[in-house]
Amino acid sequence: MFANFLINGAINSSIYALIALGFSLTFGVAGIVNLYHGAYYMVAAYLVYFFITSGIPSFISVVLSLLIVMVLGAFLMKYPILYLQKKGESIYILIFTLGSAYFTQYLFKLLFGASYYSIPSFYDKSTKILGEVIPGSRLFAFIVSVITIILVLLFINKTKFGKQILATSQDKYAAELVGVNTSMIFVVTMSLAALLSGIAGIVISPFLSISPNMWLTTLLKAFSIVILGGLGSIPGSIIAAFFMGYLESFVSLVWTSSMTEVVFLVIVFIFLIFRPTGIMGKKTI
Amino acid sequence: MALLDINNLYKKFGGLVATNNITFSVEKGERVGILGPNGAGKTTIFNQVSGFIKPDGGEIIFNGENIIGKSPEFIAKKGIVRTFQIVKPFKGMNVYDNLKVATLSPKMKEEIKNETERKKWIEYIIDICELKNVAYTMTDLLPQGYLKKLEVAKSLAIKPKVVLLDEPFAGLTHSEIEPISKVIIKANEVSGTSIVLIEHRLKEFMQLVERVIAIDYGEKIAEGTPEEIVKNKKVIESYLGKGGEEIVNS
Amino acid sequence: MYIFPVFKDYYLLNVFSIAVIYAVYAASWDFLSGFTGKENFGHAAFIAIGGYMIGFISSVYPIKPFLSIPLAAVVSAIFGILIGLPTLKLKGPYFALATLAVATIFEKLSISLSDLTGGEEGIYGIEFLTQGQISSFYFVLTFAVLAILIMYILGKSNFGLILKSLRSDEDAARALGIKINFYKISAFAVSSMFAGIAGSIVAHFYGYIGPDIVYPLSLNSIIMAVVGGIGGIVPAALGGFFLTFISEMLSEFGDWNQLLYTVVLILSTLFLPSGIFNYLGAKIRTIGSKAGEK
Ligand SMILES: Nc1ncnc2c1ncn2[C@@H]1O[C@H](COP(=O)(O)OP(=O)(O)OP(=O)(O)O)[C@@H](O)[C@H]1O
Ligand SMILES: [Mg+2]
Repeated sequence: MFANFLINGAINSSIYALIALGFSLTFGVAGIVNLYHGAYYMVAAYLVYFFITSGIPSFISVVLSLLIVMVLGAFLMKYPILYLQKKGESIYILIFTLGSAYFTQYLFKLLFGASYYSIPSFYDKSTKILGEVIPGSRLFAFIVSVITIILVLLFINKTKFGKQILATSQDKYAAELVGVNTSMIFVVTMSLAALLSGIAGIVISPFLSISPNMWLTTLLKAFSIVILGGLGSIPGSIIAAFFMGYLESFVSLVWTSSMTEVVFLVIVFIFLIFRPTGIMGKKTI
Repeated sequence: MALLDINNLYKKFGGLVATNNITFSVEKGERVGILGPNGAGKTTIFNQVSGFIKPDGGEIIFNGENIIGKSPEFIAKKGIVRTFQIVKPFKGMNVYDNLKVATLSPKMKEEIKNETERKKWIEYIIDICELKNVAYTMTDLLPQGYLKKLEVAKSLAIKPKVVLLDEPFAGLTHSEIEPISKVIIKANEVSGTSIVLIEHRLKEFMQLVERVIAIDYGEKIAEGTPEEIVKNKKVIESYLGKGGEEIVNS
Repeated sequence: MYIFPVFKDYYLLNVFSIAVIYAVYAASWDFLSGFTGKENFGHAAFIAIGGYMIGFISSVYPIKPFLSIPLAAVVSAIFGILIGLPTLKLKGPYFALATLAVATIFEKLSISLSDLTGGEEGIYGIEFLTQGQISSFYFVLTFAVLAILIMYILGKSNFGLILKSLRSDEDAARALGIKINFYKISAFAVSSMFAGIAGSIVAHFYGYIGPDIVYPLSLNSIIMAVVGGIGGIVPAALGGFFLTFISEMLSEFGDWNQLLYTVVLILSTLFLPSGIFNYLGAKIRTIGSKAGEK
């Protein structure tokens, strides 16, 4: 039981961290709360399903889907979101991104119907850890999430481009003064966020179902984790992701899995009231 | 006892002491200036006196009552009103309605008995602040000069006993400053409102105030008439620096 | 009394009734969010309080509308205050998440506590609003007109002006001595009260309350109000009325209808952010004043 809790908590947490990382980056760098973030996750999952069932090899399906999601993210930032941001009134960005997510939901419902789908596992050898049998697809999701997070952190902290992203997140105007094209940074960041969310959507697809409303809970969790970690703080988001991942495992261990989300949201609400700046306080990215 | 007595006002932000035992007082009907370089702690004094930031120590005695740590709403009702360095007009409404919001403050409940009186009062404020030609213009469309005026007008609209004006001239041309300066003097002379003014525009500042409190790094370094202050060594070093005297003498 | 076409078929009458109720949903969203700038992403929670309360009572005692509606008004106003108090300081995305969380908690509980709520199925057997379709329609219409009128008058009043000042700058209002918390809490109470009454009326109107007629309204209220135009109650209400009317008329197209609904939202945030009816209102006024000049 306890080993199960430990392992499943780690798997959930790593996926949450992956999704939250992109959401946090978009906020930290561009100051945008992107309610479309969960939709990238869904779009990638459906695309992979579609390509694989059309007979395209798995690997190519995945690459193709991720590319499309990245282009979608870049497009959304470059045109509608930056346009709305210039006009001020961030509420319209919230509404636009939420509306677009629902649009995507209804579109997919029309295209694919309301049924649940799933895709074959990318890696299906089960492994025994601490006496628990872990399905290959879950282990795969965990490993991919962790590696991706590490790569992204290296990219941001070590490359020149990543440093420009950091500079933009700290002070947009100062970054512009030293010649950073911040609009382009915004676009790339969104594209990266879409990629991360997309990867998460694909690695969970073999063991969670693909459905037209899968984006909303995901969005809500990413949003909650990022607020809990302190909007815009990457270390905060990762810590919060693990906190929430384990909290869920804990609730389903001692109570029932149907209450995990309720407990999660109650904690988020309480946190918002008593510590709206999150565990890491101010923006530290 | 003065109208407003500030004793040993102390505020720390993390490791930074923003106001270090600042003491000064403001008499009824007086025009006091606060002078100091950027980051000296001037706005932080206003933030504490107006209740927007809780001081870590000291006393703020207004009309014999210690108002330290009270809410901005409470302090405004008592009669201290502040303006903001970066103007805060109510957007999405016109100048008239901006002033109307001010007249709806609890401070004005007893003063204004009905809507006719309210209208009269708003029109009076519009008149003395020379806002007539923009009275029905949305604030979103107003140029900076008018917004600065509106900021002062809103504060005067609640008939304050003390007005704390945070850089009301910043970013304005000389010709834009004059009418605001006149309004301030008028409010002071007609209604006996005490004025506390923060300004970097030395020439206009020195003409307007009767007494200056100079601060640097959160500490009071000098106090005196404008003439005394511009000759004070400490002030010249800290604030005016090289070439400072020229500005003052010009 | 009402100069209204006598509807030959009840279908249209039904659609009309629902559309006016939805107008109240949109208007009550506007009263809190459009005025004070605290964008509520969980309006359905307010609606749920009214609707489900009637459902719970009805499952033990067949409560009549004349009793239940005032009860719903009180309970939902109190609930609004209870949500308003802790979230007073939250703004923008923080407030959005807090309200989204509340509504989602409600939704999950409505579905999982099925002993009490009937789960996905909802609760049936609630007393009908009145004995007949036509009288029910008039009841709904009277309520909607009154509710919208009250919110409109409040919005136009000095009270509404203060709410609008909060939307722009809370600190500027506090500096003048305005008791901002009192006004924010009042806006919560009014908004949730009307949403809750509307929710309870819907429950009586259908004789049913369930997740399908409550929870989509968190988003829909925003869509209706934003597409109609915020900050003036009537444009939001018109947005609610027309969007619902059109969408109900097109409901046979099923999912296409929902897709269209979101397209309208996206296009209007991009190209007409002030809202269709605010825009039309401004147009009519300029034409009017031009004609006046001549
Ligand atoms: N809320 C705050 N939190 C942390 N530090 C603050 C805060 N407010 C002010 N400070 C710091 O306190 C110091 C004094 O700031 P203050 O705004 O009072 O300066 P000022 O004299 O008004 O300067 P200026 O002329 O530029 O307006 C500054 O170093 C500022 O960064
Ligand atoms: Mg300052």
